[in-house]
Amino acid sequence: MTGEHTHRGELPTSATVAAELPTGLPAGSRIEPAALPGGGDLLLVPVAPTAAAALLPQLLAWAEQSDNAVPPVVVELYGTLVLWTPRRAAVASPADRLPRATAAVTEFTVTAAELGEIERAIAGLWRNYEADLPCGFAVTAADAGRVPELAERYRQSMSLAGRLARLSPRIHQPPQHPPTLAGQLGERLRDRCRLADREEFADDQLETIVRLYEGCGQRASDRLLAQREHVLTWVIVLLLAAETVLLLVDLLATAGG
Amino acid sequence: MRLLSIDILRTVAIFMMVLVHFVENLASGYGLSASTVIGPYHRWWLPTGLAAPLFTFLSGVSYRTWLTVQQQRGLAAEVIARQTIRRGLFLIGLGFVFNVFVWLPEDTFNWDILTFIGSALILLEVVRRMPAEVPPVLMLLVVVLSPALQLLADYPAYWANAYFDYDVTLSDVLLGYLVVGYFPLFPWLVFPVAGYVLAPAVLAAPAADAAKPSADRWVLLLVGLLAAGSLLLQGVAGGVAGLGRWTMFPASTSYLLGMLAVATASLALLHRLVDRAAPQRPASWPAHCCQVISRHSLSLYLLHHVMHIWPLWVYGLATTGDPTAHWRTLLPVPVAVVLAGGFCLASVPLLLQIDRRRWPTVEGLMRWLA
Repeated sequence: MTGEHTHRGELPTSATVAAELPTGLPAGSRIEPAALPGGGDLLLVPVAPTAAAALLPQLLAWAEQSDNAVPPVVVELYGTLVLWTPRRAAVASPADRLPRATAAVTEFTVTAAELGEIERAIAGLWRNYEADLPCGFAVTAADAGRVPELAERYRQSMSLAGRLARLSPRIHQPPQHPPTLAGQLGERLRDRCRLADREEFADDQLETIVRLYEGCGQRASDRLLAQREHVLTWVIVLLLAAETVLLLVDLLATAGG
Repeated sequence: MRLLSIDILRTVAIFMMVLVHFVENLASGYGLSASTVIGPYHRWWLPTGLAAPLFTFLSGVSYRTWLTVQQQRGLAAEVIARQTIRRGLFLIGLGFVFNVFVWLPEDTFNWDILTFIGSALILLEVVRRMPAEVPPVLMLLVVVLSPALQLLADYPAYWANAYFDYDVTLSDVLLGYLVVGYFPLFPWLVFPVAGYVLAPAVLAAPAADAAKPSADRWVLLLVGLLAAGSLLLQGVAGGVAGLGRWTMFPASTSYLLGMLAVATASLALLHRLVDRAAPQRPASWPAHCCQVISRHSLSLYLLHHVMHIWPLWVYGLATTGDPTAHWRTLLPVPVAVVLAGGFCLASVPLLLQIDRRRWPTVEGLMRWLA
């Protein structure tokens, strides 16, 4: 339930349930609506160091209210309990560690959301991949009108590759030394959500897509150059023909007397 | 794809041509002394010089629309080329037969409009293979070269009596085809090529995006530039033959530009008024008549010559022994005008009858061969 599922960071499109504070939480618990990057709610529960695990059922129920389809990621570490879904996150921790744990969850949410966006954009590019494949080999006259479209897809894929490259250090950041609660929480969350694997898959996919559109660009450029050469050749032929006609008419007029 | 605008314009061109030919061949010299030279603009009210540019321009437009349909049907370029060249050769052959039987053997190589349209069709087969930027260069070259070629070939020497008078020598025949005949390649090639090049812009659908300038504006700009160029040439070089002086024989540069403007504007206007305004409207009887006349334009071209030239030759032969004795002097002008009107009126039911009874026509023969 916790580590086996991959969270893609999708924001549910259905209407979200209004966040209500679950019953049975210790005093001082509060919901910070839209505190997560992307507009998700954050539930903060200050607890005694050994009491966090007991709150799991309530926090689980609260986190699942937003989107049943995405099971929450649960991480328990040094008396701190974190439940995370893209729309809701709950942090139960001793009061003095709560800010650092919250910061770690927030930072992870930013990374996961960014990766999710990149993955969705890649899925969008795959939709045109098959149709655009022939242009990777040759751009014909019939495809000439599609060149701006192909150029836009190349721009999109390169932009995604750039975003992924900028995101990569945040996913692959080495463990901090000496270890901290925030650092380890982030590490666990990234591990449970398989961000490193997903980043690698996205990178592989983008490489394939970029290769196609680079090929398209090359073919379009080749065609443009060939077209210019073709025009120039025809103009030269016409000029030579014109010269020939002038000479011929002159010759015929002279010959005819 | 049959566009009513093209049919209407072709019908107008045919009727103008019939009128001009009847008046010029039967009556243009009636009552004048034998030494008077009858020029093509002898009578100001005759639409002389309008029909041929329209015809040749429309041949380019029709070729482009025909080509589009063939390409949409998935016909191979080779098959299209074969059909085009066969049509071109058929028209050239028909032109020679027509010259021999209508204008008599001595005028076999007068290079009339049929041989020209046949040649133009074959050249359009080459033009269609050119990149889009090249045909305008070709037109520019033809327009610029033509006055020089007319000068080189000594055009006036072949037109001393206001008709193409040549010797049957290789040089005269070739010069007639290229420069000095009735419809030589230089500069008449401009019209079919212009029709071919401008057809997509003139017959374009209105732009869906209001922010983008529509093709209509470009066409309007082009017509304006052509008309301005023609007027400017007439103003600056109005006395120079082949350049600024408005003449059809030789087709001067001012005439070419002016007639291109007229042909383009007429087609664009008609397309806007007729094709775009009510594309799905069922054809009314005038529209149906135009379609029939346009479809049989080649037959009409041949028929109207036979109808007024052959009696002229027979009468001349019978009365003087010279078939051409009464050429241009047989009838008073009003009678020729009435005869032309009568022919036009009679041609409509005749063509309807031909269609209804499926009689063989020269168009059918061309389609069968090509």
